[in-house]
Amino acid sequence: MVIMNPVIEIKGVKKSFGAVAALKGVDLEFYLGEVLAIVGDNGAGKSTLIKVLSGVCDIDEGNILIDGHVVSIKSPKDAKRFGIETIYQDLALCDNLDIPSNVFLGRELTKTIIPGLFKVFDHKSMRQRTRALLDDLRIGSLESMTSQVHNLSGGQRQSVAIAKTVCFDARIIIMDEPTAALGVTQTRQVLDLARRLSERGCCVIYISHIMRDVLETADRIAVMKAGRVVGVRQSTETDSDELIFMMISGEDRKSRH
Amino acid sequence: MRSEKELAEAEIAAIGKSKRVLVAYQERWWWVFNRFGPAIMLLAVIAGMSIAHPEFLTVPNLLTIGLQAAVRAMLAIGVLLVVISGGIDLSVGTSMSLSMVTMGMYVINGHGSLYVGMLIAMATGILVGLVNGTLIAFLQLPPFIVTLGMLGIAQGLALTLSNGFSMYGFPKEFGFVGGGQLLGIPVPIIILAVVALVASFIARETKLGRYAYAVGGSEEAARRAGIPVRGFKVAIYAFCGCLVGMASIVLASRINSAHPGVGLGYELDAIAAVVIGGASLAGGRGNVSGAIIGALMMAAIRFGLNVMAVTPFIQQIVIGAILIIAVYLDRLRILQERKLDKLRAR
Repeated sequence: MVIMNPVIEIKGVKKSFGAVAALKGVDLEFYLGEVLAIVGDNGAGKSTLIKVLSGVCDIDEGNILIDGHVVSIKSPKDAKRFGIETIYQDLALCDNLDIPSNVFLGRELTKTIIPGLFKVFDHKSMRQRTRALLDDLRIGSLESMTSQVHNLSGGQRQSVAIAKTVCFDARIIIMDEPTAALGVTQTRQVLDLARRLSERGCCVIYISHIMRDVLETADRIAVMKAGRVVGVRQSTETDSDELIFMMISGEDRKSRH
Repeated sequence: MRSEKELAEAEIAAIGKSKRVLVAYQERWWWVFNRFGPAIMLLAVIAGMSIAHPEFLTVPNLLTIGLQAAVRAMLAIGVLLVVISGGIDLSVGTSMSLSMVTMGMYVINGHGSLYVGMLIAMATGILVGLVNGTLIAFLQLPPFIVTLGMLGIAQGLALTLSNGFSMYGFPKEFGFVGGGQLLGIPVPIIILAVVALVASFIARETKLGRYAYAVGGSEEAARRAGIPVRGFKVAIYAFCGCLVGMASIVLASRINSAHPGVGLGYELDAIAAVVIGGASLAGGRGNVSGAIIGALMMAAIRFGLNVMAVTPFIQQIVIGAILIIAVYLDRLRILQERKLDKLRAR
């Protein structure tokens, strides 16, 4: 990887929910053009970390730096402003709308019929741009752009959800267990997509606990346990045994040497 | 010789193909049913009535049905957008009475201008819609309860304002709205046609319509997409109120009076019309042409019952039963769609 400045830096971030300390001082760096996987058992703090980055909850202590500047992400809207988009497992699409309508939901393209007065949807451009976007991401095999989303398979739905976020200049894309509900081929599609997004210069943060997917897709893997980052590995220099050991024991064998 | 693996693959492909054929076959029928079901039902009702009473099928009778349907169809179009967004409006009937009464008070009792009176009717409808929408969107109250309460409030207001009496004596020219003809076509039907065109346009081509579908499909997804869901909900109920106001003007002109009790019961027809026309009470689906067909069907049924000299008491039972059957059909449709989705997911 080319040496460059991290796009996001997290320094000593702490977050408690009442008496439960979910993050106990997390330091982590994220770079553009990489897939960083975060793995950890349930309750390790993965979800909280994601919530902090996507603006769902505020931090108690520590700093988040984006492009070297300290920022506070107070709402999902703030996160979007910084180019952070989160792809949720579900609840991301309106089943009863077609693909372009979903991709452009809330940001529909319009054309003016009577200047200053009358605007209508520009269905044609929305269809064309969606088609171009899906081709660009190499999401093939969509029978028809005008079919409603509930007609699509799980992987295709996930693809549309991803297209929706990528469409709008996301630099940092958080994928929270994107393959949890998918079959083998569909998982394949999503993993490929994660790689292609990073090749396009995005930073992809990939949450999962399927070791094989993580090792194959990620450039770096951060292991979390009980609110701390146990260690970070290049995916080429580790294996699932080591990762699982770190996940369970919370110890980094390398750092002892 | 083909290897065992090739044979197995061929078999899997064959199974896959037969399943696809089955899905395609079911889907085609489903598509036909979804698209033409309401129209087929309407034709069946008219055919049934004609067989029972051969004198039923005459042009004047059909025109009367069209006229009676016009008011119901306007209410149904208003309720349609609400239902698409996943809500419901039970108050359209009595708030139509209220609009009629405020117009009557201004025009008849107050000797005011007819045109201002019509604006007052529209404003009353819109105001009721705004109140409904605000309570539902900002206080997060269930639409069913809010509009059920509003049903009572609007009825009570209409009776209080009018002291329970009908008001007669609209200016003569007002009769044109409900009883006039343009080029041989009754004016209410022309008004309905214009309203229907505008409403279809709103449903397909504007944010109000698109977001109604989006919110009805998945409110959470709509919110995450950055849509100001609450504001649009208020606008959707206000749109419904606007159509209630228009319906009240047409009905007042047709009966040439303002009657505080006439609207009660229209909400059943409007909701039944919307559901018969293919909208789902679960939200997310429905269209204007379906709602109009549904309204025509309700009007045809009511007219037919009158022709057959069925008492108004029994008619209430029939309309209530039709509403329940329509919702049951909606339920069946949802189940069938889930089944098809599962088949498709392979």
